Amino acid sequence: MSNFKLKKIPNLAGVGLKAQHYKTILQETPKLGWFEVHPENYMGAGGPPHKYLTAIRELYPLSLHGVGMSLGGPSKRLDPEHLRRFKALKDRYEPWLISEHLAWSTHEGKFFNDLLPLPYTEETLNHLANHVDEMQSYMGKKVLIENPSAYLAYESSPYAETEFLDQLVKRTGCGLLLDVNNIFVSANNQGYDAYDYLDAYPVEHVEEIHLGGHSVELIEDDDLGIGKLLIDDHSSAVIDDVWGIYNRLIAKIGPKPSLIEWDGDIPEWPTLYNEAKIADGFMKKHVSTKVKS
Amino acid sequence: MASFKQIHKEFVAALLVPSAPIPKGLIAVKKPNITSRFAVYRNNVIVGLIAALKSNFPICFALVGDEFFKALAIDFIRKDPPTSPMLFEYGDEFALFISQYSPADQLPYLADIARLEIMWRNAYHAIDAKPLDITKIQQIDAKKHSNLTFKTHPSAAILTSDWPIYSIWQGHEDNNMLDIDLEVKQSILICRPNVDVLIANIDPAACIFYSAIMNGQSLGSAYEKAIKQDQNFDFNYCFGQLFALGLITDIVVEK
Repeated sequence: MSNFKLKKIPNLAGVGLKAQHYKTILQETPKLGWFEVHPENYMGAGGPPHKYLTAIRELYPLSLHGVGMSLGGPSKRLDPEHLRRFKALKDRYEPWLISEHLAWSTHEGKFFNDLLPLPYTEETLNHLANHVDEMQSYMGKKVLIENPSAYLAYESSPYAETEFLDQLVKRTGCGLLLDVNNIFVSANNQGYDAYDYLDAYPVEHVEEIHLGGHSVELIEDDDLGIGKLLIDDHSSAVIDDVWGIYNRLIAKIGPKPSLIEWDGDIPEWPTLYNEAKIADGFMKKHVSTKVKS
Repeated sequence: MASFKQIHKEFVAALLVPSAPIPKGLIAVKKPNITSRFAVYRNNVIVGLIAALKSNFPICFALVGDEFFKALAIDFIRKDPPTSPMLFEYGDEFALFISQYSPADQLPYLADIARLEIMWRNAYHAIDAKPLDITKIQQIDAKKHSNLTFKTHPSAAILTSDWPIYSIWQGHEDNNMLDIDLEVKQSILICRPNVDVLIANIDPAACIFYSAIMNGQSLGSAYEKAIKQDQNFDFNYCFGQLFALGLITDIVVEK
């Protein structure tokens, strides 16, 4: 028995739902494909977060994007309490998509609130595949895995990140969430070409795309002198370079659910809505594109 | 290369302590400035957790200001990092930490304000329950009233204090912290019957009355205790408030 009429997320833009926009969204019911939330913000027993999310869920399809499962964490099993809470939200809100990160954030019971990097080794792959299997079987649903933004990488990484993700899909049957801003941030920070990354990435498994903003710091590296270090802070609009990568991706695979993430210095609703409409504009251009076989 | 477990251990050891050595085996560009790059992770963790505390303790933040709060938060985070990804509930030990934090000695009420904010947050996220309308009790034979007991709202809580916690909370709501008399002792009753968290300033007799009701004692017994504390106890007002604040979710009539 289903609680909600709308289920499927269309191949349109969505927006990360923020508490300051609850009332505007319910009053204006903007024409928008879907919303995404961090389940961690809705793991309380009751109160306004659930009231608003329920009301909004009645009007829009939903995606749950976890930031706290620590799939790349060192413990043998995932945190059973966190799995249980996540599953309860999945059952309650019937999200069309659920996703998590290729990263870790918890160590010996302490949560570090950041997406920390991993070496891409066989050992990591085995470990991560077990955790993805565990999460998918507990949820009874495919989980999409997102590429991280990185400031550093591990030297001993026999797998490229793209190859590692491809292997993870093959082993677990998971899907992929491709964060286009993260490609741009990581490529800049690690001195490779974002388009090379995209060309190597297994795009046929992409079921969701993320778009967000980043900030720029200056850094002095020994060989390059002063250069830009990009910080993935989701506190500004998507820049043209990132739209450029998005355009190439959509040209390849056609329209996909595409999310505007804006988590810091959150603007008024019209600004966010406008970003979503830009993404929809790119998708309209490539509406007839099919995945090349 | 270090084992999977070792890699995490070394990374975490360096995360919260800026002076700790940076884990080996990290690269970026050809000759990267590893220290500055690792600092991004350190900064993300600490800034993110400070923001979580600021969001959970907005009145404490307003009382002490940016710089003081940041120093306080960093010391707290190093001692007591979150144990779950549900950051909206981070800081259960913050009040205790503040009470033992010597730079805050000049602000002896700060720990109680942190307690108020923890209780506010617990009420906000508490399981929902429908408050009972006062007319329900009027349908019960008045002779039975003194033996009635009540089920109270899951969000309801009382905080007693030696400081004017209600006035400070109200001052923050009204954006006017002037004219708060620090000699006044106040206690509060918190409840979230629907969407909004309600806070009432309660005197010592009312505090005894509401506590007794919340502990499942009969209306008559709660009244007796309150009147013993203060012979001017305003029963009619406090009884009305039980329903006005949405504290009562069910009435139990003794058979």
